[in-house]
Amino acid sequence: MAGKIRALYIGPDKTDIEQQTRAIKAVGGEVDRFHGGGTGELIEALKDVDVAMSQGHKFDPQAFAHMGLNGRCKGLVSFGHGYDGMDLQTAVDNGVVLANTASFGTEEVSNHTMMLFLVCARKFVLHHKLVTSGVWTREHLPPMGHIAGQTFGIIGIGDIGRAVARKAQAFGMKVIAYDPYVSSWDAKEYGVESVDSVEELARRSDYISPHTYLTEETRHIINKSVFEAMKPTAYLINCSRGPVVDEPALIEALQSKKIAGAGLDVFEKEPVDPANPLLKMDNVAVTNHYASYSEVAWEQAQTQLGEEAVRIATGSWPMSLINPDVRTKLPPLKKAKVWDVYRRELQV
Amino acid sequence: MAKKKVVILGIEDDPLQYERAEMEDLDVEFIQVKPDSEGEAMEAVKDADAVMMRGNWGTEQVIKATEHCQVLAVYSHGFNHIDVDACTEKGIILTNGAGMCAEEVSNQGVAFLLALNRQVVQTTNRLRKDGSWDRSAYLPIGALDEQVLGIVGFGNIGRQVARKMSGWRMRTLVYDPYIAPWIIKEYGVEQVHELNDLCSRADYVVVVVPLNRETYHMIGEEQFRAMKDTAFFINVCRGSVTDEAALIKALQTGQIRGAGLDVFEQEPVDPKNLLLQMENVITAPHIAGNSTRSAWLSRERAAQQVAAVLRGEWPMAGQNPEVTASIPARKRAKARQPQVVV
Repeated sequence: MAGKIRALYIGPDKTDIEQQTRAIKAVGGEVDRFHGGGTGELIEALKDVDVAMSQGHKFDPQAFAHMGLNGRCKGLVSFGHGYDGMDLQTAVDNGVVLANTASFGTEEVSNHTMMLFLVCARKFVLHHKLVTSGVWTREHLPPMGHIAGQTFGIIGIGDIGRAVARKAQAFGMKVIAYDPYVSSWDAKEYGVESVDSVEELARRSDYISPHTYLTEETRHIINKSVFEAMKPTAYLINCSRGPVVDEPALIEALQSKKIAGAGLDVFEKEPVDPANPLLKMDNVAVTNHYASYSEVAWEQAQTQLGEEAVRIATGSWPMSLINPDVRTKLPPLKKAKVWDVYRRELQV
Repeated sequence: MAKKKVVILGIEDDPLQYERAEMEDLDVEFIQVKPDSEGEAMEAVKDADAVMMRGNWGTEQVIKATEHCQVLAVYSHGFNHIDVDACTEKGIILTNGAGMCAEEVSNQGVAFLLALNRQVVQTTNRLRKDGSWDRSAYLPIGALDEQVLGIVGFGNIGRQVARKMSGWRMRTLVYDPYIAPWIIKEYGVEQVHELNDLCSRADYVVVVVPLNRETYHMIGEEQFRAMKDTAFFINVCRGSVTDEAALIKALQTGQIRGAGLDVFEQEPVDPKNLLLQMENVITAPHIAGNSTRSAWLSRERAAQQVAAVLRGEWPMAGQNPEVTASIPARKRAKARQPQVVV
């Protein structure tokens, strides 16, 4: 391989970074830790490395001007799935390759979605409260869906959306999806029916669940007009990002019984305000943004962080490139290969 | 804006129903040419904004003869007959008919697998010949739910083969160094990192890769040596992915038990090709992609790609992403309803 690679880990000082640096060590590379400080210190630290990894740290886009085409550091790998905190365009302009740790929590998020969907469909929150307070009644059961034969609507049919689709199908549900970037042949392979608009999805679904990134295109993609279109018996599940849903519109829809309820792992403002009316409703199930968590998922993400860092540092595309327009600024790089195969090639 | 010129090579006097429908919102002019020579093809594409192609006209000479072409769309799934590097150098987006026959090709692979497992062709032939009722002649017959399927290449087609055979509860191995691990997980298959490892463990080896520099003769002497002597080899992609001489030898010496072949290194296949004389080899004349649907879907798909590029988008079936190093960024094309309702 071409020289020894050097990576910068940007994250909490106390974190044990054995998993994050495993891949880099495996190919004989070295890792610096960023010990905090301002943008100036960050830019300074980036000068001596081939790639940066960030975990739980907001990366100042000003630093991109000293990377990519204008510095040694070719790119940045960011822990997690969502990249709404990242300035993709500035990275593209400077030829900086960006990657995330795609799909690390696909199982977890899709499971969490199914959990919230069942909690809603079976009216668990209300009945748990009634039973634990000594009330034994069946008067609040109707309307309650049969699940099998009902329609599950997914917005965004990426890794997580597809896992949800597969699981919903296992419950006997019909799955429809809105994702304008998915080709008809892929939709067919996933066994879902593609619909042309969020409104159509809203009209037809008994449960709606977004699985999109948060971008300008998806901000408030679930809004007042979507709630107007939804069935009064339908539920909204959200395990993606809070601002994908217009929260005041959701609160209004719940208060006026335009929809039956919601299961939420995320909120527009986090940590959620304890006075948020969503926390007081018997038809709303809530968790504190941990849908992607399990030890296995976390280890997967942290290991992938290092693997993507090695790919970028050694002139390969990462497996999960999140700013593909950067291709227009760079000469063609090696196509990303599976880690075990790529590691062997580097070590030869 | 000036009318865009779409040159269609290899098709003549066709109403172009799909091409016209998909590009209805664009100001385009279609020119159909069935060239007799490379020179004629070069002349035809000179001032094209888009070229659509059936047949082997995608040579370096023809591609370089274009002056302001933005896209070259092939009607087929494979594009091994196109000089991809020349396209990329010229800043031309190359598109294929992605997905237009994945259903058909995967079914052909599955059909070969089942036919070999059940020895359907062999039983038919012997019964027809002399009514032979010697049932032991077909043994051993493996139980699929205990056997191992090895898929080489996990694109659209490979995934469909895996999905379909999961209904048989086969254990499935996949070799594809470019496939993201999460896709492997989604399909519940096992990823192996060495081709020979897959070959040594599989009872059926199915290859479904595009033919390119990397995959030319990727299944050769070494791979056949690694395979079990009870294994079947199935090729439904391109002939030259296999070293045919090595395949013939492996079959003659009993290194593998049989083969299902839709494709050959030379096509049409030489009637004297030894593969056609072997009882343990079942064949088809490169028809894996064919069906009444794929016939028109290839037209629709290719037309959608050209339309997307002429609208300034990055097409869904773009096959040379490296080209973006030399052309400006484009927005991804969004899915559109087919314009011709069948």
